Amino acid sequence: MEIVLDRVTMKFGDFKAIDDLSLKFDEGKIYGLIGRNGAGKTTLLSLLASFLEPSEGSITAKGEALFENPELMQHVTFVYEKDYQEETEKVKAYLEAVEAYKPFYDAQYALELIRAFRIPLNKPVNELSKGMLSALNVTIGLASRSPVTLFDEAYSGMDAPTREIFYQKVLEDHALHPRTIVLSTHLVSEMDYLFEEVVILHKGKLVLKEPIDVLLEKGASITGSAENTDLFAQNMKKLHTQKLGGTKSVTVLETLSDQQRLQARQSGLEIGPVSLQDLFTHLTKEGDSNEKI
Amino acid sequence: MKKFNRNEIKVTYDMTTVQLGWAAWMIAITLIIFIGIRYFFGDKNDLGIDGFFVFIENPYKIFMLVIGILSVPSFLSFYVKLGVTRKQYFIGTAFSSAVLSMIFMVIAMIIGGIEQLIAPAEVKTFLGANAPWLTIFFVFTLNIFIYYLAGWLIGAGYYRYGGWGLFFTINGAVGLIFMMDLFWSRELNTPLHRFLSLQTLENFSLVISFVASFILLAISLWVIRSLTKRVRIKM
Repeated sequence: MEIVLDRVTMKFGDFKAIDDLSLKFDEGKIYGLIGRNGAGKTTLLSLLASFLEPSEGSITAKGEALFENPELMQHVTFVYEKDYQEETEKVKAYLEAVEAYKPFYDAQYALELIRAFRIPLNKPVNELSKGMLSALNVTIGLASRSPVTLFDEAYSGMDAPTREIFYQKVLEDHALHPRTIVLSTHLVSEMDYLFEEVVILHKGKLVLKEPIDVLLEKGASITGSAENTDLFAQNMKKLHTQKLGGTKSVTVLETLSDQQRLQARQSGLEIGPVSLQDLFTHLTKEGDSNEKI
Repeated sequence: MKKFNRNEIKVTYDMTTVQLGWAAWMIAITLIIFIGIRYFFGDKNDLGIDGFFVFIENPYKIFMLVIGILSVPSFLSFYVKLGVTRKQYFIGTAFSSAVLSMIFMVIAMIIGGIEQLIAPAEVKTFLGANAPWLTIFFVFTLNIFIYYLAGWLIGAGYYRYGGWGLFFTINGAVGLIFMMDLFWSRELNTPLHRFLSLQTLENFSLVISFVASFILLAISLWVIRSLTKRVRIKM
């Protein structure tokens, strides 16, 4: 399901959590939603899940307003760190309650995930550990197979191996059942291979939205002798410099031409890709957030 | 596989069964207390007990008030998270609480009937000794239902506006219950009623009481819907 945001502003009192945001989420793509604390990621996802109504602007899907639309709302699943303290229902019963309201829910697949994450079915939900709760949330998110699935830092509480399982399942299931998935995250370096497109928010505004390969071509890392590296990168915008003995590694914000690449090789320099993490850090640095690349 | 979207009906059914499950405890405990009192104090009506039917009225009301208060914070959030609209929740909840009120009265009448078989006694409600059962049924159902609305109103007010919401909706709920008492209860003798020199029931025909009650009910529902129509869901 495609979702279109047109000049959306979300105010809380005088504070604009989302500020004049226009954006389109295409059908069937996996998006990485990244931004620093308070960038408006959760607010944006809450708007998509109809937890909030935009103060200004419109959010539409299939040409209709999303908020309170019974057809559209049931096709959105929002996964976040929920407060389950009051949830005394057992995992099995809880999943059944979810199933009743999710039109594309696959109970078989849910059980498969429950096994993969080793979640006990007969334990009350509020007695699960933090990691298990995250796994349960993710299970609900994936098994609902909603045309729009939003994961808001859904991995929090999971240990590294469990997170790996989660990422793997997202990729696998998305390949079998393409749908729009938005993953908001701090752990950029760990998750960047999942994203087809990247949306970067900063202070409620859109910094960029681009396919990840296009984005990553905008920079490069150059490694080699300090002297040659400095020479090669002297007129380039540097994001990050690291020096170890006589070797220097510089991350630059520059789309390298074939000629430049050849020249680098001839000087004995190694050219590698820039990491999304570096780009993200640079783009959302305080003070120069308006800088375009 | 796409399932048919009839969330209003699903919400009605789910909320009725869940809340009925909770009520089972309350009814069972009330029954045990009632039997205990009857057993130890015999048929002497010194305690002013006019049979189970009358005895359970107040527990029903308090129960409805409490689950009404819980409705918005627990069920609205739960349902919107599952993709149910606020409107579907509202319709489902309104129906389920009405259905619940009726089921409550059916249960009370069944137990009351059994009680009549064991120990026949004159059941005297505030509608008089000879009031038709159907009238009693509807009047009691309506009165219990109103307590749910009062609680629902308080819960919705707090969820939407916090402390200030509570301030206004508690007053609204008290007003609602006060008015219902005015329309229906013969025994009312609160200082406020005395202060306002209000005379009850004798002055009102059954028809007027029903009409006025339905107007109150409609206003309460309208206010609750307005409070929850576009409310922000807490995460």
